[in-house]
Amino acid sequence: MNAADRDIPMRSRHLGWSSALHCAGLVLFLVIVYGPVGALVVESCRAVTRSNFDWLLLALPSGRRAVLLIRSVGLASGVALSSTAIGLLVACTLWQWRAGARAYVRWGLLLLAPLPPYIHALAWTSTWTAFTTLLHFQSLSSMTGWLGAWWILTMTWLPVSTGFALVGLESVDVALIEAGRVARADSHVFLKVAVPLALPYIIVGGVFGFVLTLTDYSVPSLCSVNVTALDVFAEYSASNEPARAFLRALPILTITALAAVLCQAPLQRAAQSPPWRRREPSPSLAMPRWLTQLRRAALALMVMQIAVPLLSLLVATGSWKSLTLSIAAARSDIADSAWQAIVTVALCVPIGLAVAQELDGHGHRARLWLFLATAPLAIPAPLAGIGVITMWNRPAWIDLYGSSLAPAMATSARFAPFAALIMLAQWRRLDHLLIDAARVHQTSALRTWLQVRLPMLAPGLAAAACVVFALSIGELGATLLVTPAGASTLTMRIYNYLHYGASGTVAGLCLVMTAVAIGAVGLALAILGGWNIIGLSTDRGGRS
Amino acid sequence: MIAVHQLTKHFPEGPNAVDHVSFDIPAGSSVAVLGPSGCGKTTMLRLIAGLEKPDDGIVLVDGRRASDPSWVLPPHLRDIGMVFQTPALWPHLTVEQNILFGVHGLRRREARRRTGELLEMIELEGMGNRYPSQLSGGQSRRVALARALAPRPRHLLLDEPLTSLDRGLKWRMLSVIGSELKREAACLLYVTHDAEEAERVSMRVLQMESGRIPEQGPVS
Repeated sequence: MNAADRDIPMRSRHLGWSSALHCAGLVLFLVIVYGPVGALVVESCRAVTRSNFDWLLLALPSGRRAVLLIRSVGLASGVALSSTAIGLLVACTLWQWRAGARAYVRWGLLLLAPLPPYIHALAWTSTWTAFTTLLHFQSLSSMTGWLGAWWILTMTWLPVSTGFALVGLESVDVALIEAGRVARADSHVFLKVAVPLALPYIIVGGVFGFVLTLTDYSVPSLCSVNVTALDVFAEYSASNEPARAFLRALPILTITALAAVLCQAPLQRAAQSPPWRRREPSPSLAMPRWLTQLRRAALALMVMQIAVPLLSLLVATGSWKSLTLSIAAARSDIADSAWQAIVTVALCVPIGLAVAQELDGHGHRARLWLFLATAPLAIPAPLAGIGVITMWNRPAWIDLYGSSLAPAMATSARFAPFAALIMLAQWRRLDHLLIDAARVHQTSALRTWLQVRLPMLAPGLAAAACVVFALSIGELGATLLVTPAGASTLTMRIYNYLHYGASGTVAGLCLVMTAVAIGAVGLALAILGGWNIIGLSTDRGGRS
Repeated sequence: MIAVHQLTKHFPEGPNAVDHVSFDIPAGSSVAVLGPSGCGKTTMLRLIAGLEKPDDGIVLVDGRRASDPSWVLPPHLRDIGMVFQTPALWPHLTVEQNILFGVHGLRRREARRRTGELLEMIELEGMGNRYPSQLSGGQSRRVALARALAPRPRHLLLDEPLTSLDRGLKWRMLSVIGSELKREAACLLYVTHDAEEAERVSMRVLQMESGRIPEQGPVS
């Protein structure tokens, strides 16, 4: 197969009925993801007109709100910088773990990536309290304030930034590193060749950390600091006016949208050098002593990032009996959460596949879809929830809105882009010649789909399902707003308990959540590794 | 000079890529390695460059032990210029930056002069500010050659460096390599499929088969 054949976008290969399904997937994506935002925009325009444009002032951060915005951006920037720097150092170590069990461990360190921030908050605050009590530093006994929020959020997003940096380093062609090694010292080659080439991924990881911090209110609220995202939530809770909340959110929405736009070029570069096409293991580079020490320190933080939540939750839970009691008490919430996550998976995976196919092209259309797929990641969680309420809370849709589908619509609006990006990774991995061969020899389009395309896409579908499941089950910001009266989810129960302090019950429930996250992400990594999409395989073929 | 003695390397799945190979290249001389695809030519080059650790045998560079099964001298300390099978140009650096990557301690003016000289030699004058993505396949190969020559190395390892160049250009590039070799009194190990190319560039030819060198002799 020549390069030109490979670059033919998938849309040109579609068959009649599958084109219809593909289009339906795209429409569904736009309705689920952009419908709520569109409804909010329309509602806000109406409200602004009704108020003789007085409400426009809500969108201008002034006085206390300007200070709040500056602090929120400062916190997000600090978290993004620290998590990116530590993540790069960790990735630098993991990149070279290529032999035997280490090749598996390096991806295993990312298992806690989808763990909700408030569980990290619980774990770190209880550990900190125990630590300071042990050392008799009573004055420092609570991990609150901006510093506490910065630390917890840095630890929360560390696996994300590490993952991006690792994928970036994995994407660097080994031949380019070796060409440099012949001429200059390894540390020089790492800094001048590997890091600049991995930079698109590192930047994307940093932007993710920035946006996720700016749009999160759970950790700041638990650390007793006010941020703009919390202000938006409070505005809606107080006024019950979606337009007011949307207008209040406009400043951070502008900043996050700007971040998403700035992310486009690195994302496109990243998409052009997908690491999942790589076969060669990473070269073993000799680093200077100071960098080795920094890498060790960063790796220790990464291990703490995993150990602290696990150990503190285990200790706080106390016993197996108290864990089973916690689970029994929250049985209906767990069932609701699982149902919500399953429905989200059922919605996100097919539409993610349709969007991934659009992302696999070239030119303006692919660029437009890349923007459409990544921009929703910049929408604060409460706004996604308020958008779902605005869109679906209408007489015509009241049955849908009042049902347990509403939370799933909110989580789908948030996580469908993740499914699309994971599916893109799988799609890029495929040998398109096999699909062409199937088309040439096919007797029926359905058979081609079932016997060739579906099995080839299966790992991506399964991995996307696992990741979306893990993210959905831990979602709080949007779920909290749209869950019907009388119903509750596991995250809501935990969040409500958290405000009354850590206890065995809440620790037990957090442990359940952690187990689900680890299980789902572990399964996704095993699936991707099994198909060598993330380079778990360490064998090296001979050379000519 | 470069000398290898009983050099051996195997990969987990398959026979030995390089199997007890011995030869030497005195300073100022050139050796071509001929052989079919998969016979271990590239692996041998990588072993000499220090990019792979041998399973057995030793590599000597200028009389110093550079590689053995327990120790490998870092590649950048071997005074080597290398052209890989693919051009391996760094996409984020310009042609000029690529060429000067391995050059130490030159003032800006001298560096520019050196780049200009090399670009003229490879017939790419005025292309120093271009990026690799703006070059054709043949141009990229010539830039890779210039990058290997830029630091005036005492040892040149060239892995099919002129593949895909047209015949006339190939012979001109071979004469560039020859003149640089003579000027620096460097030694050259040249891997190729093309017997005619091997005869033009080298004083001696090693015929490699299944990781071994059953035959070696002067160019006929």
